[in-house]
Amino acid sequence: MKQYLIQKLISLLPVLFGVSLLAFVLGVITPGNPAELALSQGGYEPTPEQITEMEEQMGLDAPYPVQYLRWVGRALTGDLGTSYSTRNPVGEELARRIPVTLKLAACSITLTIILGIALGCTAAAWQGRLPDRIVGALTNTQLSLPAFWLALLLILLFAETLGWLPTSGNGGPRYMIMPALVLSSASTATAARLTRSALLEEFGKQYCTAAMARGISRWRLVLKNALPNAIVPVTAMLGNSLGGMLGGSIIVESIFALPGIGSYALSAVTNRDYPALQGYVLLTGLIYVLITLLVDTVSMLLNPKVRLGGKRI
Amino acid sequence: MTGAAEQQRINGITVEELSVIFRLPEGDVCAVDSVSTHFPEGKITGLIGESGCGKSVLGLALLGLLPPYASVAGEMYLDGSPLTPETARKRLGTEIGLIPQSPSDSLNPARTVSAQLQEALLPLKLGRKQRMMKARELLSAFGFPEPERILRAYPHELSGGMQQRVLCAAGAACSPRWILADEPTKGLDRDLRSQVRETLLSLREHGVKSMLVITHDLPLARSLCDTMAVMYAGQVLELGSGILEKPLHPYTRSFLAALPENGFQSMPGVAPKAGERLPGCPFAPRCPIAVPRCHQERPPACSPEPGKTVRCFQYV
Ligand SMILES: Nc1ncnc2c1ncn2[C@@H]1O[C@H](COP(=O)(O)OP(=O)(O)O)[C@@H](O)[C@H]1O
Ligand SMILES: [Mg+2]
Repeated sequence: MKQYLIQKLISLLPVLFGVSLLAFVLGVITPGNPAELALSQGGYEPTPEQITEMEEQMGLDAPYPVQYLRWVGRALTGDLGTSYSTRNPVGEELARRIPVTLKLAACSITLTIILGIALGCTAAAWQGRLPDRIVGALTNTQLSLPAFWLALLLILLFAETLGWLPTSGNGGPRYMIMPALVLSSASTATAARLTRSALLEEFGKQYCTAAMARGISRWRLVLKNALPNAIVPVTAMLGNSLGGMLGGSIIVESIFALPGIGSYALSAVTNRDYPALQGYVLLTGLIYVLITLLVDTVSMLLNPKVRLGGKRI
Repeated sequence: MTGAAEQQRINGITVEELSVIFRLPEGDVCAVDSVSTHFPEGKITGLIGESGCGKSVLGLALLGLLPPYASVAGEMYLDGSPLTPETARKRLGTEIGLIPQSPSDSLNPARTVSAQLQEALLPLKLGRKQRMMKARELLSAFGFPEPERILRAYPHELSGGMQQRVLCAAGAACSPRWILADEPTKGLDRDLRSQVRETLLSLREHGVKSMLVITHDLPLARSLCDTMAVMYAGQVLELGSGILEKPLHPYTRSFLAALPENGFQSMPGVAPKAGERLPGCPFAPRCPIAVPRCHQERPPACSPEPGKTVRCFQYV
């Protein structure tokens, strides 16, 4: 198992390389001279001598592969360059913002796991009956409602009309409820549908017939017998969702004014802040790799055949 | 009819005009076609027939375990009281136990033997400790010298023969009066087959009085079963004792002649496709002695010898 994980990690290295290359190229193809851009913020117009000096200082006269290696070397030590718009180190800015995104992602994935699996189990246990149809209608709505629209509806109801929750900002747990609901809505629906169909597939298998022949209850069949097997494909889907959430949701973070990395990426795009964007791409690439490893580990732990190896007693 | 004979007629599993049709997107598949039969109490009945003739579906119908898209018509009785999916469910495990087909698919790959065996013991409403002890006892009774190790194991760690015995233990856990064993020796080698035979016979010591054994394994059927039912294309064509020695139905004769030990005389023609329903005898197209009537009408149940029922016009 350990060996498998190491193999997996090695197979993910090219992904990391690709992501870093992408981020680097993003900086290279930037319209305009980075040295000039770095000097000219705030309306100041640098002289050509100043620009040449800055280019040398920034190493922009070296060939691209050398520049890339230097850039990667700096990135590995946490130096992601300086933001054009704020003049702060990008690494520090991301580090300040990532806890907000992490908190939001943790709340959202928890909601997704609990609600998604519970809804999926309910639908499968009463396949074709009323609870199944209610879950079907609910998940349909969740999937077709755009996030910004759901966010506006929730704000209208819980903040404006009822006054129970704050409209926006970052603070205690109450500030996380609406953003997490919005961010988890679509993935909850996907998880519920996937859980349902995976459970129904398990029900058709011989071991479920054998379990039912022992006179067990419907819930025991669903939760104890079918779910441990049906959860495997759901884990992969949940991992993907978590990856997306950790990348920071631009829509949710902007609407609820949460200072996470999603809203950071948005402002980087609007300000043409290439170092900030590079840092963001690199960070989300790293997150993707870590999530892939996490999902693989979890699915392996869930399968006793892989966990224990194929040996016989 | 005398009272005793009437009682005998009632005791056991009675099936009347049972049909099972799978409603599939591709069309209806009639897996069991108007079967009327009786499996007597206190006896081991063998149910034989080619693959796909509907043996397992008949068994699952008795247990009320068919999938939702199966439509079931007709009546089933256990000792005279109706068996519906709802009433059957209450009897599962405690009155009727199942030893399912294909052992490697019948154990939950994600759960330990202990979890699955204890689940089979739930209807007894024992405490945790007692249940654990009972599980250990069951495994020892079914030929595991080291029950502790087996309890901790996952199904993939057991051999096919071990899986089969675990399933026998689970099916017999609550000492049901009836056991339905579906192809218990399929895919096992000779030694394991005789081991399973012993195991099935030992079920009697666990309070199991009557059994329905679905099998392809004629040596097993011969040595284990008191009486036999022969199925073809969803119908029971012949029923009674001594069928293997003295087959009455032309299908049974061809079936036996086609066995390796009788020289592989293959049957002409092919079995009707699943779902195809013929107006007459299902075997008529392949029958060497069929007369025009066989293609038009269903033969009635005849009793040319006491204790035997056969559906063929030659005995009418
Ligand atoms: N769950 C099911 N869904 C659809 N068709 C089925 C199902 N189970 C069995 N059948 C069909 O019913 C027929 C009888 O199957 P079965 O009883 O399993 O045969 P066997 O006599 O080998 O046990 C076959 O044609 C099979 O394709
Ligand atoms: Mg079968």
